[in-house]
Amino acid sequence: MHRIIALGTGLLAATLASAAALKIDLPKESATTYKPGPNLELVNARCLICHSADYVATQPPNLPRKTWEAEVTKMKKVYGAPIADDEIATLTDYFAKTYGNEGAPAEKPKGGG
Amino acid sequence: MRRRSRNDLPDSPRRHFLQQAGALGLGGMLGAAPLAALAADSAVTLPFGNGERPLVKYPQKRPLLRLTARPPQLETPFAVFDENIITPNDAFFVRYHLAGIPTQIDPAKYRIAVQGKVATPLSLSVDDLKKNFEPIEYVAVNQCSGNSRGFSEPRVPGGQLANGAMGNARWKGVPLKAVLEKAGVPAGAKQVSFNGLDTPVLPTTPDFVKALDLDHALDGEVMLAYAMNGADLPMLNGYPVRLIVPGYYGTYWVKHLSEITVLDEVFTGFWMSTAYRVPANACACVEPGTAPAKTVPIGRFDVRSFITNFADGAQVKANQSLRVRGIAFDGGYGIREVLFSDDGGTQWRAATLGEDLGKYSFRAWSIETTLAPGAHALQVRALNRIGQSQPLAPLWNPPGYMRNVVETTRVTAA
Repeated sequence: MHRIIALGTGLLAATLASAAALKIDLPKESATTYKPGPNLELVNARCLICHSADYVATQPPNLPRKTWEAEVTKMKKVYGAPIADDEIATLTDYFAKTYGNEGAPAEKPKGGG
Repeated sequence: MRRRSRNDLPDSPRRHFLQQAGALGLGGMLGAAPLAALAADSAVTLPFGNGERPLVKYPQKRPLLRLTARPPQLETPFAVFDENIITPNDAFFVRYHLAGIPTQIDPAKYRIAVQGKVATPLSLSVDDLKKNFEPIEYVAVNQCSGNSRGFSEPRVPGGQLANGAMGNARWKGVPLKAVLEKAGVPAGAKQVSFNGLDTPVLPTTPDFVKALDLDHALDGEVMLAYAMNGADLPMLNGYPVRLIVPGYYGTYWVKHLSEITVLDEVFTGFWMSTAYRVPANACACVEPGTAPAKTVPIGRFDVRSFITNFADGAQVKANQSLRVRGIAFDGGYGIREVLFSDDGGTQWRAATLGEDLGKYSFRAWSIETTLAPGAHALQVRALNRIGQSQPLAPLWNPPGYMRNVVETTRVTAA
């Protein structure tokens, strides 16, 4: 029942037209891709389904590979993300090298976005 | 392990002068280049790595620090806490877990189901709550479990918040107790679970459902709130009705409340049994970098206090009287005393407390000081009415919850 209400503004605009209804329009998502890195297409395909890229961009800059592996594994096993078993290593490698402590030193101070 | 507590004098003399209450204008850790790329009034840089946050205006909100866009997570600029002891609705922080958030709700069609092990299931509208129950009203702080997580050292993954994922509002609604009594709770009931209209994107993701023990649910204070500071709740704060669990972390304050389910067993959903748990010891802490052997669901706030009118790194006038002010709060016992030090913690003086708005509210405090020219470390430490206080060195746990170290604000007098 509640899933219908949460599906989005487009569907509901037509069905809930009461004057008393409260409707908001959320600002557009600014970052719609992760940073360039190995297998970016796979990362964008898997890791933008449920949340925006700033979930990763705002993480501490020097997290180690094991932390990223734990996060990717959690997304699959706990949150049910459609990540194949053999994609865990690929995604982990991307995050460790692109957002984690295996990136080029010059990249570490960068963040946000 | 060492015996430590959030309530007692700490056994470590360590100070963490880099970890501050002030959220604005602190870019030293990040270098000048990223800062220069951001317009001065459209972003702030929190004082930890990857701390750049755009200031974004959301519906019914003033520009707030955006942590994430989908789902929205918005942090209150810290200066707001110096403006009023009540946090305005348009400045109140926003935290969702799942991206299926409601953006349109018709209160005429909105219903709260009261179900499960009850004698009479109910379907309540907002009008039902307003017309058929005696209202209650009180001021209470809501604070995210992970407020201040960005200051954890070693740092931990999760929402990287400074100190602005908290707010103090006057809530009005009906006691959960009255609603449960109307439905009829049988002997043997153990817990009550709460669901809201926010849903996961994927059906495989656990829905955000929280639970309270029955005794807690029946304490007469837990509230179904339909008003916040005299107005409807903003959509992003749970319109039209959210659960208020005063003194407890915001994870229990379910927004857009849609289902209240009485259970005859302990709720085992992910958001209780796996997430939002803290080490099962007095300090809710472990040695940094280690894992706890046993955990329990997070519960009441610990004691916190902040200086609000000077940011870290502020320049102040030397040799003249300054009024330092701020806020303090705890998990619902009430603030008894706020101590202030302007010499880095050697000597402490009692501050003057402001109006008492209730045991769940922010408590304003202020004190006069005169500083000699030079650098000074201003510190504030609150005690509540059952003797709980704040540690001088930060306590650590893997999820970065419950930070309540004595805050230090460095100022230079000239």
